Amino acid sequence: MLGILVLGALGAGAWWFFLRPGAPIAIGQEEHPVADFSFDLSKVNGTAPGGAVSGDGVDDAAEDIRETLDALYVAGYIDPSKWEGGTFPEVLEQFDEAAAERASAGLDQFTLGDQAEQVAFVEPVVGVLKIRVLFDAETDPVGAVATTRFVADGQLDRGGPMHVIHRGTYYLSPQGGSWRIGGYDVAGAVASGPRLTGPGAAQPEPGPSS
Amino acid sequence: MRKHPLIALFVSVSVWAVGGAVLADPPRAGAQATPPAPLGHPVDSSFLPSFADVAGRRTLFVLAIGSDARPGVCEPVERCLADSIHLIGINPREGGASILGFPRDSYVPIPGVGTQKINNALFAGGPELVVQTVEELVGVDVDSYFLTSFEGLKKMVNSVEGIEVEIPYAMNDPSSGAVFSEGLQELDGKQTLAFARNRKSTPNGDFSRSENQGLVMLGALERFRRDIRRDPFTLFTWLASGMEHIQTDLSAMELFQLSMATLTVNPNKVVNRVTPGGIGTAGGASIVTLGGEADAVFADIADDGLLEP
Repeated sequence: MLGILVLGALGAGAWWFFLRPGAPIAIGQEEHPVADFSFDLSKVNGTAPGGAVSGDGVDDAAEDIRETLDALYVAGYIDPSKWEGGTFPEVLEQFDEAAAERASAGLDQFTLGDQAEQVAFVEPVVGVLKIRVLFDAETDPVGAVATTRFVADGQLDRGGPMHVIHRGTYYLSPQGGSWRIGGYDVAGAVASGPRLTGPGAAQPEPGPSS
Repeated sequence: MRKHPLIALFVSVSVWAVGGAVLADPPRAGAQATPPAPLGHPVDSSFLPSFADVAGRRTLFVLAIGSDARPGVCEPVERCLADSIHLIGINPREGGASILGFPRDSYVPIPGVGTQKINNALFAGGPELVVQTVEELVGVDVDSYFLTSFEGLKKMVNSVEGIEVEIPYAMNDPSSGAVFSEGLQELDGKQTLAFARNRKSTPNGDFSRSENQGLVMLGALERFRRDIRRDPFTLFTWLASGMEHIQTDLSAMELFQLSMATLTVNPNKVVNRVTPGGIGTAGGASIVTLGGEADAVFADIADDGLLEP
């Protein structure tokens, strides 16, 4: 009789610590792979004094800008190894000094925020990017405006779905070999529960057309 | 009495399990299992760098110069007469700005040239000499200048599909083409130039014209902000047009950064004034004399970039 009780108690303890949803030491739950993510470049334009420009210079600048914005969203939403206890250092690295100061005061505007530790994984569903690059008379890129539309679904540690809907307009400048965000306008939501789909569902508005 | 080892083990395991449960998830009030708090937060935030972010906390002074260059009349742009000269003061600490116009007939010392009408400074030494003249007249350090022409102004306004300007009174001046009724009106490039050049059909001649040129700048600022709010990509329509039709000592990247900062300026908080003065003659020509009242205005804007309304 006592043996049964002991085994029962051991089983209950083991379940509590290792197997229940949200257990501190999860055993038997597979680590969810981090999704690969890169924005789809839906539109790229170049502008210079005198009119539109195109070619490798525009494409190269757009690629570099995409790299910056990919890094922002991967570190903010997709890759748990970059959340670092809700401090998201790689997110702030994508901003210039003045914008980083402001962004750090509202980090949840670009990330899962201080509830990131409750999230098991996030998988991107939509990532669309439009870019317009400004060139000077010597055809060096000097600035850019980029709009993003990002939608992702995820799962909470305790079980149950969550989702991210994010729309952004970013003003970027080339600094030290990469592009940094100097200004932004973002809207959307991070929420638990399933993302509504179909007519009437809350979706980020498409970015402005150029 | 010796306890059974299995009882001791059972007690230990029970304490371990229950204690672990308590530590891992303390019971909430009511002892009822409550659902975890929903996760989430809204996203709604914007930031544009201010002039303080771009240029530091100091006051900025920018000189806007309009040349009367025209094909077949006077070229190049930087060696004609300055039809309009405006000192723009920007105070990042206060978040305010001022536009101070100089009547083009203002009779002032031009360094290295002598006392002449201020509009002659452009012809005599290009925009750099206009900057130097204003710096010594007002007692400020000008950070940068913008120089455009009649044609440049027309093309810039047309490239952004017009601007809205508050016409302060009805005008009918066939020589400039300024024929307007009073009130807010959408002007194309040609109309904007006519409004900015008219001095005959105004209550105060050259002074009124200079003030109206300030209204054109405010109209452009309002339109600029509205365009960017509607479609951020139009920023480059403005910038590309400016880079094509304006001469400046700023780099393209500095222009880009300043344009973002300009978006933070509320046109309703910009004071638009003209340097006060009297009418006189010198060498048979009509001039504007600047006296003590002008000195007081110069001291006001030199202090912090802002003018009393």
